Amino acid sequence: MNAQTRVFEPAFVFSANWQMAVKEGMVKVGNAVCMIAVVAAALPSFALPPVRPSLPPVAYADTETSTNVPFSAWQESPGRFRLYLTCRTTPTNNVQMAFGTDIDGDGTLSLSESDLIVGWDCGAWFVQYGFDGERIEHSGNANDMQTLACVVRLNPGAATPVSAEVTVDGVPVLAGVDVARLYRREWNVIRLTGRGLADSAALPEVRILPDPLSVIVR
Amino acid sequence: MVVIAEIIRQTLMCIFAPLLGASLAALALLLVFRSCRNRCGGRVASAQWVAVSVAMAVCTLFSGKNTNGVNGVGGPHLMQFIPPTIQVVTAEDISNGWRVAEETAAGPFAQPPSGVVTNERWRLRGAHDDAVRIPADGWSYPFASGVTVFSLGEIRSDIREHDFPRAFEEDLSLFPLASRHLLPEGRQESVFWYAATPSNTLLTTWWNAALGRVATNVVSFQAELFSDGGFAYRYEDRTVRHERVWPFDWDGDGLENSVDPEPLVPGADAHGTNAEWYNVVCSNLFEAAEGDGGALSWQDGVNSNAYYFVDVVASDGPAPIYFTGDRASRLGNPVVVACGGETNHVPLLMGVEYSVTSTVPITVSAPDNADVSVAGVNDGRSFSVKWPLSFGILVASGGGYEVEVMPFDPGGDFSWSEEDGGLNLRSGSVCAYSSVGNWIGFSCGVGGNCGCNGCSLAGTYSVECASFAMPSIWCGCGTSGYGGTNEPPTAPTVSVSFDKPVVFYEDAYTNAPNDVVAKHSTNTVLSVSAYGGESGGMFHVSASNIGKLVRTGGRAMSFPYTAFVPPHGGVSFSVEYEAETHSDCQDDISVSASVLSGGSGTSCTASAFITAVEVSIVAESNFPTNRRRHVFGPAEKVKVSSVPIQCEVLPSSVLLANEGSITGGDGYHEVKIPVCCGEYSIMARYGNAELSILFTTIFPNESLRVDAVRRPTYDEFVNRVGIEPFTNGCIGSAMHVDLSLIPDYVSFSNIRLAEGHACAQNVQGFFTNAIFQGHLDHGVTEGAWDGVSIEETTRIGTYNELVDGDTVAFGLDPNLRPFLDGGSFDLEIPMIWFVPGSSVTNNLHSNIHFNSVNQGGTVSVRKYERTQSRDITEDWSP
Repeated sequence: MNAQTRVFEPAFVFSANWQMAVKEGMVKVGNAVCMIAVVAAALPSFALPPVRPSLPPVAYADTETSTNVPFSAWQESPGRFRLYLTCRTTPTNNVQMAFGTDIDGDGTLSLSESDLIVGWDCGAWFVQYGFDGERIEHSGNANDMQTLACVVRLNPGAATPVSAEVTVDGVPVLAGVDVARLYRREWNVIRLTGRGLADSAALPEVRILPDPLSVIVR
Repeated sequence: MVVIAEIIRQTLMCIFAPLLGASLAALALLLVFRSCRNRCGGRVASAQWVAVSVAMAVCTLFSGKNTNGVNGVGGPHLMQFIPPTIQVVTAEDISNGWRVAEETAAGPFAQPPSGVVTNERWRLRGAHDDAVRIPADGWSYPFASGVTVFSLGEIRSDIREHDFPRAFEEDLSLFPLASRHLLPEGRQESVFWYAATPSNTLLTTWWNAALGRVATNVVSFQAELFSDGGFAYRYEDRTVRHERVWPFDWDGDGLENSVDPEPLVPGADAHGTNAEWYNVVCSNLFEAAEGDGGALSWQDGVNSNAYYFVDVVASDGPAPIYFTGDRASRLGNPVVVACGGETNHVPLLMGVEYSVTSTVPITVSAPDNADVSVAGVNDGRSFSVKWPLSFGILVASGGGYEVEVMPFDPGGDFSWSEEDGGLNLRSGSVCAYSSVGNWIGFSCGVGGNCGCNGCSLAGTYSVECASFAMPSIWCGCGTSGYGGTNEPPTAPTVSVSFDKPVVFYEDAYTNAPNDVVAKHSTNTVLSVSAYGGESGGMFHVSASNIGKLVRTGGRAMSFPYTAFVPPHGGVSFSVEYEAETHSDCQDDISVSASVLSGGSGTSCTASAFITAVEVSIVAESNFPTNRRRHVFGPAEKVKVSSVPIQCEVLPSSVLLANEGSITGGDGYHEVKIPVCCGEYSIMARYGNAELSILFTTIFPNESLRVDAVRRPTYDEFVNRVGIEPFTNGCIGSAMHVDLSLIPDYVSFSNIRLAEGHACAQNVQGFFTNAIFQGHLDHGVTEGAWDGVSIEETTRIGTYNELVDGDTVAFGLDPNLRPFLDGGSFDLEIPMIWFVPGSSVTNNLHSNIHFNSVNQGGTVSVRKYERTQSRDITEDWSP
């Protein structure tokens, strides 16, 4: 069993049990709540495997390459949610990570399932809410290896964002970002996409670390 | 067996072949006939309008008794056309909301018009699974305020249920600029562009895209969205046009599904202009012939005098327009599915009040008939239409009364019966009545103990299955029958009055972009009444400048108005008006009434006057250009004026309590807007007419335009910067920050800004040196910091911008070097605004100033994400 399948295993077990119980007419609301709580409490230990998927090599003339990385934003007391994206920034390339919930369960995060997209795109760092939502940009230096860091402080009880600091190489950027949109505990897939990357460039890979939950792309 | 089978087959062919042939011939004729028609939207290239002259002579509505008949008068001009293909609408079409209308050979791609937008990111770095949102700006589509376009060749509207078909089975993608060498020879860049066209459509184009993401399979593709809900896909080898399948009219023939006998079969253009529409919707009235030029003829038994036509035009379409009468009639409630811009002629029954509603703005008019009352309700989507009936009562030669329907006789039946309310006997009277047609006779005699005081009786008028109540006819007794104190006066009387001396209105105005407030008015009621006296008489009403008012209720009157007032009978009416335009002078709108006695020949007259007064609210400031608004910044000054007469302007108690005021001026009143945000009101008053005017005060928000300036000299700071004994020549770093206050559609020129006190925080490194102790705070400590104190306020200039905003700086003496490991400190400086003289202060956002020096002597200031640095070893002397 590899790391990716382990991520989904609790959800599958829960789903199967639940459907069976409902079918047999044996589940009451209280039981259901207990089941949810048990499964939810069990999730963090499964949800943070040391996955390190990389972008696959460019295979098409459009140069777009992407990979979907399962993870679980849900934690019992997350405290913080941190994103780090390090890449070589050029005026003609794009590296971005999209966060969202795989609603149709196909294992990939489609554009319409994307809830938050963060990254570098042809000369600017950006945060975009949804695939067609508002996009906030900050012009950046091209032709440089830079790191975008986004540290979201969460309300431990409700797991809702309280504040956030977004920086590029330590300098605050994207001040107008909507903090509330920077974290959702329902997120379960990260889609990493690259476009216009040089053939010789080292393709970024995703690393997920627990406590505090951190998504690192470099 | 084979021979027998062949014999049977030959026999069957002999029997059915002629029938089959006849059927096919009939079907072919039908198709040929319908192929001459066009569809709503008019985009079909082969559409041929067959303008069918209507055999309806044009007469004016008032040229004779039979003024509304179709054959001979003011009816609709019919046209008919047939769609190029007859294709039954399928359930899948309805589910999709569109269907393929036609597929033609490839035509040229539409060229990019001005204003084309090229997606630069996709051009530079390529795209396969990416999306861009295109807001509806300069184009319109019925199901979206915008669309999302996917680089892989899809379009999605805001309304997720309305999906566009995929243009290709495989995905498209765009080459990045760096890969354009992969394009086949003759193909340039791979781009996606979009643009709104002059015809209000949206063009989206994938130019030189890779089909299936394969570099050798390059195609161009264009999709155009039309404002009627249709769309076209243009490929390199063909064009496919799709048309909208409307939920209320699946087959798009103009007949709403609920009344369309074949809602899935495209019929004709039936949008209230065509015989088919009249055949279906108005079948109780007309027989409309499609084959002989579309002439209409009345059904047998229809009283054609009772109908009239109105013109209705939808601003956009197809759109359903519903006519709903206030009572049942033979006509029913017509429904038109109208094309945009097309004039539809809809028959209506006199006397019935119709509400006319649509999903889009419409116009409703009766261009040839001034007596038809058309009143808009809101947004141009709702109207009421009525040709009111009135009843004249004449003394019949036989001693009774003859009742006439005005303004002309549309036929119909009259009745007086106990069901209509019965005889209303006055005390002591004994009455009976008899009626024939529109004639009624009374027999009144003395009864009881008080003598005969007469009686009255209401009646009913029925026409085309609709009933209307008639006014009561009063029956007097003979002279000998009168007695007691109830005897009616013998001389005619008349009275006219407006219930207010003026009617106020304020024209439409704009509070903010896209926030238009409609014109609003007070109302007044005109009351006119006349009594005929002993002999009855001619009642005449005339008006002057009444067009400066617009009727909003009551009886629809056309002036001059003349009617007969029967002996001892009365006529009265009232009309509600609002102001349309202002008077030229006081009391220039007048209504006069008179009754000329039929017996003595004497007359009595009465008049009433009113003034339409326009009230204007104009902000005093030149900023912004929109000065006519009801949304203001704190302490703005506003002029309230009125024409043609000056009215009182009174403040509300809430306005006064929040430091607002009103002072009189020369021909106007000046209102000082309250300093606290909220809703307030003032009142324009003249006599008992009052117009309440609401407005809002809003607070500013901050919008920053940071302009980092590395000033060549520091003179302006030197005298105030430095740590003693610093003197002229100290050096540092500075940043100039311009502030704009939003929203930008009100003026904040009456407020002041100031930066408040802030204590240094996170003091580190070099700045922990003892000589800085107590000198790093903002705004209070002398010498260490060029803070802007609360007293040094800055006035907001034109367009809500600070002409000279805050400058943050700090100076260091180079002699203090070395700076060890450098250092830094923060200041979180509150921004305060207030109105001079007001006790109210308010906060804007605090600003973080980050100040640092490094070991090498470079000092930096960061504020609002902008950083200004300088090396203090540079020569900054003037």
